[in-house]
Amino acid sequence: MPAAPRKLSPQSLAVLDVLHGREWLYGLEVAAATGLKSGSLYPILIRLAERGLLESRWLEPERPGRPARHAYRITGAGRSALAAARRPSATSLALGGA
Amino acid sequence: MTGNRRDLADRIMSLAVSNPPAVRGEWADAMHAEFKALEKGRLSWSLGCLVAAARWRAAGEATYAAALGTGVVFVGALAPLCYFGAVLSGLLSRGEAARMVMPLIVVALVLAGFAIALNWPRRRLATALIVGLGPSLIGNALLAITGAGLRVPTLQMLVIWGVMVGLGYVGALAGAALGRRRAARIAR
Repeated sequence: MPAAPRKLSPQSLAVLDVLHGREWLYGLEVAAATGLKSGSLYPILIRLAERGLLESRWLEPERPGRPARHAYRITGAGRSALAAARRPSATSLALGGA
Repeated sequence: MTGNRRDLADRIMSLAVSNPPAVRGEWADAMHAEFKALEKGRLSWSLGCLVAAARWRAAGEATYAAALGTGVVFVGALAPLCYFGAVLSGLLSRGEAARMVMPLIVVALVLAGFAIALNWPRRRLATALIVGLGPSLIGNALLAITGAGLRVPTLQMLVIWGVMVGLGYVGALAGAALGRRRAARIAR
């Protein structure tokens, strides 16, 4: 039997939610949209990247003389994980239907 | 933001991103790049990054300590285990098994130094010292406690320790070189 995927924290889901349906977003944009501070945001981004739920790349600066910035995008696995987390579980369906 | 607060934020950010664990180097650069793009909230961003970096370091230290412990046990246990395994199973005579003890210790020291320095290339000397001296010091302490201490002349002991640390360092140098090459390849 395959191991059950580890449950995502509400903060991780918020990050995936922000990235969902958008192109590359910078760390500052994710922080602003989720309200997460840098000390919480980066550990979450690292965890999600290590689990293959988001991908990252360095984007060239929009203005010359500025450094390249790290940007993030949700992956197919990330979209699936987000959809699974949004789906009401069998238990809650049963309880709701009772 | 006043000049003083700006300076403080710059200093905190430099501290946060200085010398990160090898696997977090790219993420430290990522935090720093966002900091440079920030107009407001630089102090709070830098403090958050410092917290994140402190967590990485704490996790990195625990992992390094565990790797060193495993290395010390590996070096200390490989030769005796192989010796007794070979003798008790009747695979080798005592004399034959005794002849493979030294080569096994050499291999274990080089391998342990190599494997640890692959992930912590900057700590090759510390790795060699701990992996080289650890098993001997623990073994001597155990022998002293049980009253079966070996009477090895001090000079001879120093030479043995020197050789053991040297072997660990050779392995660590090779591991560090490979680790840096791997990190450079990932960065590209």
